[in-house]
Amino acid sequence: MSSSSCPSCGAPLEIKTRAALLLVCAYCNSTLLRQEQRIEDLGKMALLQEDGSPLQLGARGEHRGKPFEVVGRIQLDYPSGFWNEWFVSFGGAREGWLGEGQGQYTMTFLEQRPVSVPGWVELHTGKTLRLNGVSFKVTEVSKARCVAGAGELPFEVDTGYEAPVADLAGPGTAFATLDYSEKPPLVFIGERVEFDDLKMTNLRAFEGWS
Amino acid sequence: MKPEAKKGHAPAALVRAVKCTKCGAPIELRNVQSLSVVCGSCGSVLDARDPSLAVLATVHRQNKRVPMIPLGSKGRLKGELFQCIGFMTRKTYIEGSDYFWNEYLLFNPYKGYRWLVEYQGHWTSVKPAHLTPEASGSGYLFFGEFYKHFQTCQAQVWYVIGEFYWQVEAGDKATLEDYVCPPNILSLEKAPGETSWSVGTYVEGREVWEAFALAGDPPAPSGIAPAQPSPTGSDGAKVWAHMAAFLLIALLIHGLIDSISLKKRVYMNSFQYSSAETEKSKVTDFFELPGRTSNVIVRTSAAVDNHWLFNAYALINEQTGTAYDFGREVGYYHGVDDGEAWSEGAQVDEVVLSSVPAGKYYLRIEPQTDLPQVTYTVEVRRDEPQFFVFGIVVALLLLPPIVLQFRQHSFEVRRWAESDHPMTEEE
Repeated sequence: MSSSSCPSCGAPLEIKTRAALLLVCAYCNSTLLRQEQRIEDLGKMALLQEDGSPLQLGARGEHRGKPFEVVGRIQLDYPSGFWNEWFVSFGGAREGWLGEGQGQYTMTFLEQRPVSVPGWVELHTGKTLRLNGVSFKVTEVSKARCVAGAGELPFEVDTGYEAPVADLAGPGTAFATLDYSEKPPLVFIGERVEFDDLKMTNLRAFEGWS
Repeated sequence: MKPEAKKGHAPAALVRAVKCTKCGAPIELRNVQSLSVVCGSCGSVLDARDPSLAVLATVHRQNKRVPMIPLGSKGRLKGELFQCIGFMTRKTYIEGSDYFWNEYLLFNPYKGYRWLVEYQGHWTSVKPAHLTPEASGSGYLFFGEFYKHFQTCQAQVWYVIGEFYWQVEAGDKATLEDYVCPPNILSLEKAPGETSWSVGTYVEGREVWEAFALAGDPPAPSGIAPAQPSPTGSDGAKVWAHMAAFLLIALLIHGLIDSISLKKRVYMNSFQYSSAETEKSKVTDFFELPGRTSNVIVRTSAAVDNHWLFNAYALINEQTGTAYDFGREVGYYHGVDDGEAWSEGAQVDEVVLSSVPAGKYYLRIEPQTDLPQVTYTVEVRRDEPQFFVFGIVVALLLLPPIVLQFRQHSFEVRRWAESDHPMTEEE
């Protein structure tokens, strides 16, 4: 963890992951790009929309016995509704993405090694493909619009951009997401998880749901 | 410090009170994530994500159903709090008839969605399957259990009200595939561009009534539901295990009785009968019946061939004079009738006299026969365990599992009669 301050409003910035590249100031909503030794102000981040998500920055949970903290967020708008990819830190050394929307949860990790995947146009629901030797089936192909980001993120976020994405289901709980907004596409592999198994704390509270 | 973390202290409101764009009727939106809401008054489908609630479509209004669980009511199902936010009646058309069932959409902001499905008074609690079932033969494997294909049907939305996490359209159609492993059911729903798996568990109507504090009694279920657990208990194996345990106990008791029994021959002798003799009755020597009060076996054998021998016996206690009178017949007949060989009877006979006290005894024998002369042998044995008692015990022990097996089978026949795969005779 390192400390710094927002070049726009001077508020203190806490950086929890080494991977953090983009920071959104919690006080003035400035988008800050972290470079070598300085922080560049890219202007104001777009506003997040109320999507009823029970998660928030600072929420904690565990996955396969390893505790994590939610440090960043990308809010996406799919034809089927809002979906969030929450950037989570497993104690600084490892990061993952907690996907969440409509009460469904996934935990995926960015593949660091190159994984060959078919082109966007070749994808369709039901198509089978192999990722790291495991057979996956495409369950959804859609374009998601990035609404806004929050907290710290490992890459730049262009609000309003359309991300061509595909969801895949593997054996058992295996799950993967292919993000074609970058070249080569980003491959996230992990699993579907159940809310109760995440043992989340520091969640948002809702009226009538305490 | 993060502002969102601070927000956590003041609970956020999820409910929005709005008015129908079409008819102005009040609508309560309870889930921010709903994509569409159907007005209960005019049947307009409104875009729930649009701040101006644009009218997307109008569903059929002639149809009307009153949900048994009112929209907005909260209930704790298996310990988890859920709110009923949507209701629809779907139907399928099979062999000339429409079949209707009701589906209640339940919501929890943390846990997402559940469904309560009601068909003819039978309830199933359904949730999305987060594990992909694995195809196997005529069904699927899910968490190590086999789900057998029950039915495939085309479902159509017939009546709908409330809010949903998808875009409701008038007459929404989908293909449903059901696989059962009572009390659970796996359902694959295929709609254009989407397939989803869900897993349900049979629940008693009374549980639903208690969870949502509904007035009155749940409607009595009729027929057998696909995932309804067998009333005789699905665990036939348990009953067989109990039976095996009791059988073992019976076997041990039998063994114990057998080991403490004397099983002793106390008398044996052969006699000659001749019609020429004037005194045909015989009196045996004294013999001792030892040990506890127990049984006495008298065995009569004679080499009769298409003839008979009848002995009138009296077992007499020499000291007390107590007599046990009994008659035994030895007869053996055989022949060939219409080219078929037959035989009847045997050349030996045994009788068991139970509870004979110990003491000094003798037998008086008065034989009758249709032979001029015959040799017969009389043997007396003391204290032998009787296998037929053990046999009765075994038969009584077998009765419950066999009856259970029969009842379970007839229940399964009735369950599968409603499926795409009715059971045949040999199953």
